[in-house]
Amino acid sequence: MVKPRVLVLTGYGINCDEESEFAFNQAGGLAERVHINDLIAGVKRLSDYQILVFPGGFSFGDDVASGKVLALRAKANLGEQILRFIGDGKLILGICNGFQVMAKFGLLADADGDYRSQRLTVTNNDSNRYEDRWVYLRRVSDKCVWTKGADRIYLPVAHGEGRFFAGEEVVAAIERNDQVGFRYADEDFEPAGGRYPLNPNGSLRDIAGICDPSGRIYGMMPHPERFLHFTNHPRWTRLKDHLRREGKPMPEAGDGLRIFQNGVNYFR
Amino acid sequence: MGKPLVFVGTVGLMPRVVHGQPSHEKQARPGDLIVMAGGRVGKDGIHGATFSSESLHQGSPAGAVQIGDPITQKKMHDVQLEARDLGLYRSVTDNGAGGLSCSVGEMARESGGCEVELSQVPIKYAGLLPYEVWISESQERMTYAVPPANAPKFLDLIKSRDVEATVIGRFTDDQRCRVTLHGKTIMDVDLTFLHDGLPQRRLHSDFQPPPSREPALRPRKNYTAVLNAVLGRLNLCSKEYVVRQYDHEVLAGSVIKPLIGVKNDVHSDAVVTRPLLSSLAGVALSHGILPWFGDLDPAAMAFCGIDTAIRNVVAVGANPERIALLDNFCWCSSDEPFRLGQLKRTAEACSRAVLGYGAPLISGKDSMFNDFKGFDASGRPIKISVPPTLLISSLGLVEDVRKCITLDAKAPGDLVYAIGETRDECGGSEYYAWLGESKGKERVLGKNVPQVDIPAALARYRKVHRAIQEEILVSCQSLGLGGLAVGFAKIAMAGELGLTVDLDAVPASPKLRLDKLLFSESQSRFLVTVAPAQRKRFEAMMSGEPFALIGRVTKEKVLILEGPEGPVVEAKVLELKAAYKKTLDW
Repeated sequence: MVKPRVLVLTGYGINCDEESEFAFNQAGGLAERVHINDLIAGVKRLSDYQILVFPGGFSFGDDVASGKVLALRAKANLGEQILRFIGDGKLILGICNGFQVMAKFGLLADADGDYRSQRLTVTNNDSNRYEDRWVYLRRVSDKCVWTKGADRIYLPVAHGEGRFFAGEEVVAAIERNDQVGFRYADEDFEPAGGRYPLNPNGSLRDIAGICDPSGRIYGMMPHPERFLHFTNHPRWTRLKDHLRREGKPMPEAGDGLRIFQNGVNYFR
Repeated sequence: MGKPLVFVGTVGLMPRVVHGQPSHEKQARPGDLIVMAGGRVGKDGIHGATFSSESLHQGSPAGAVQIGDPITQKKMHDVQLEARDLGLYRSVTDNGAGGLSCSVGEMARESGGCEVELSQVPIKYAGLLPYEVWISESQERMTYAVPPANAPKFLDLIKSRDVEATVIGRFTDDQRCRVTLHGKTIMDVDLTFLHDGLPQRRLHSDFQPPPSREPALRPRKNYTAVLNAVLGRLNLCSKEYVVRQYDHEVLAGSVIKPLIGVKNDVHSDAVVTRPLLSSLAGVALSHGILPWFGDLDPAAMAFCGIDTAIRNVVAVGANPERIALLDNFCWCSSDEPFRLGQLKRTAEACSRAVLGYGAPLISGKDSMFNDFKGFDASGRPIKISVPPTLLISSLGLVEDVRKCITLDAKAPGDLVYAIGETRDECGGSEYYAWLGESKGKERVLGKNVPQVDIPAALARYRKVHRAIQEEILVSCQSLGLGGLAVGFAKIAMAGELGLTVDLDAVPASPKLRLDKLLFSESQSRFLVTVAPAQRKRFEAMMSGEPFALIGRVTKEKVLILEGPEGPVVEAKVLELKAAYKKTLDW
């Protein structure tokens, strides 16, 4: 079968593009890093791809608010193309800064299918500082294409502005429409209930990721591309030792790969 | 308030070959255009390098400090990699110290001369004097040598990435460095004179070892409280608060993180990164920095710093045959004979050590006048100087990251071994520093600073490395500050398991009193844990080494260190951890 083509956006301070590209290639896709200016200039065409990725980074230096300027640049110059991309039934994934971009663009639409209006945000962590730490996540949505099978997953977050926030009605609608991808949880994958650092940023309702009503357009703060290898796990040396004593081999892949496989397999 | 120092390191990665050419070779040719790209030139960073190398005083210029702009840096970095892979330039140098004068001046050596027209250099605002444009260290700028045929493509590419690039002159071969402003010559210097014209300055050095003596020690029955206190010292305590605020996983190659263990909250000896996700090879990074040893003997600071930096990367799995080092000298008052004498002694020791270990110093940095001259509260002149400090950074190659190990105890019943001899070497130690501070009077430095036997250390590192490669060790820790006592505590805290240790079994020479045994910072030592099933293989592998089975990992989270008359440390592991964390738990 033909491998789905994945466009990994780069430029202006995006810095998780290489590993995101690797992740999709590892998952069986055909990924390519494309500078946003090449898309705007028409050197590359979004319509040639099946998956669009907004990777992590510090686009435009996080000036104004994380993701805000890149969201505006994308919306002003590529807005129509992106809406057509969504309309064509294709997939979008945003990670960390990419999630911030999607939130500020308005891509995480409500049930009404409006992909242009911002109704939710990700803003400064409650701790008021940047933090890099691993978090336990529990899958919520049944419709989200990207989280399928990843019922319980452990991934790193690395951000200063990761607190999901929206008005009560929006939060209620997101939950009612089954749009919550992951919630922050404790070691037993029970809800974090806002407890720091299990919920590392103070996100409302422990929400770590949100999809659109179709489940194809998805953004999350944690970084699945940072757990592609078993050796990324913070305690892999312990896990390896325990497996060894049971006579079992150590796995090669990390759990984060699943997210990317879900995207690629959608087109199989 | 003195002159604060922050040590920052970077490691870059480049392909060996680009377009069939070794990528580290660069060669500007006569006729190549000089292109400056990135940020603009401003009044920030005028004499920045000079500023950082002289003492801080009333008249220090505020404008010497460069104003950084990470986003411009990142855009320029990205596009440079694109240009590199397209083979669009022949040479590149960053604009660091000395700005254009240095970058262009250095590259002019490759071709044999240069001409620069300063009016072409983009500036942040009007009002810069020509010399300021020439030497400003404004950041995020690169200078390239671009063949004229490539220039349109090169400039277009850079422009398409929203980065500014400007042709400011060309490289020549007339052995002159010429600078003009609107066509008028403002500098025309012979290239040889520019590079080699500075007469060698002669300085006088004189080193006399400072007077030192071992402190009078009062034996204690129990050292639990001392261990808690030492664990909480700034040099040893948890810096999780700081570490978490840096992205240590970007690029997704993280293998051994700065914080490890059951709760991801104990510092590892080194970090390991897999720079290419498609390869199993890794790079281990660590360092050794022991200015306290330098106060007793600068040579010991160098030997121990290098031994520590190497030992730390070996402990996580780096190959001792494939280690590179960096030296970073931060000195004070480097016009005084005694300070220069310390400097010379340090440099000589570095030379001997790197030859001994076969680990080259591949880069480094120096800063010679870290002194502050000002006034105290009552208006009296005061001078505050940093202690002469050598930082050694280490970069070790790991052939297969899947064999890396961490220091945390992993299973009850595992055997605890000490490798390497503990000696009467508490000089400059954390223990003595604590003693002095707890009495609140004089600094206690002691006399017996640790010594390093390089051939013995290297032989040991090879054996430990082999044991890691053959997956015989369950955990491995490089012993450093705080000695064995802190080493045991870290293994237990990281694994959240207990240890029971017979201190009498620890290889020591001569037989040491308990506090010295616990806190001596003798070099080239490890603590390892081994599964009982591997005991024979491990012991056979270590034959010839001073090593001993000294204890066991236990399920109860209690650290018990037995002396000849009963336990001298008996501490709940979680209480030790609380002491380790509380100092900087913000």
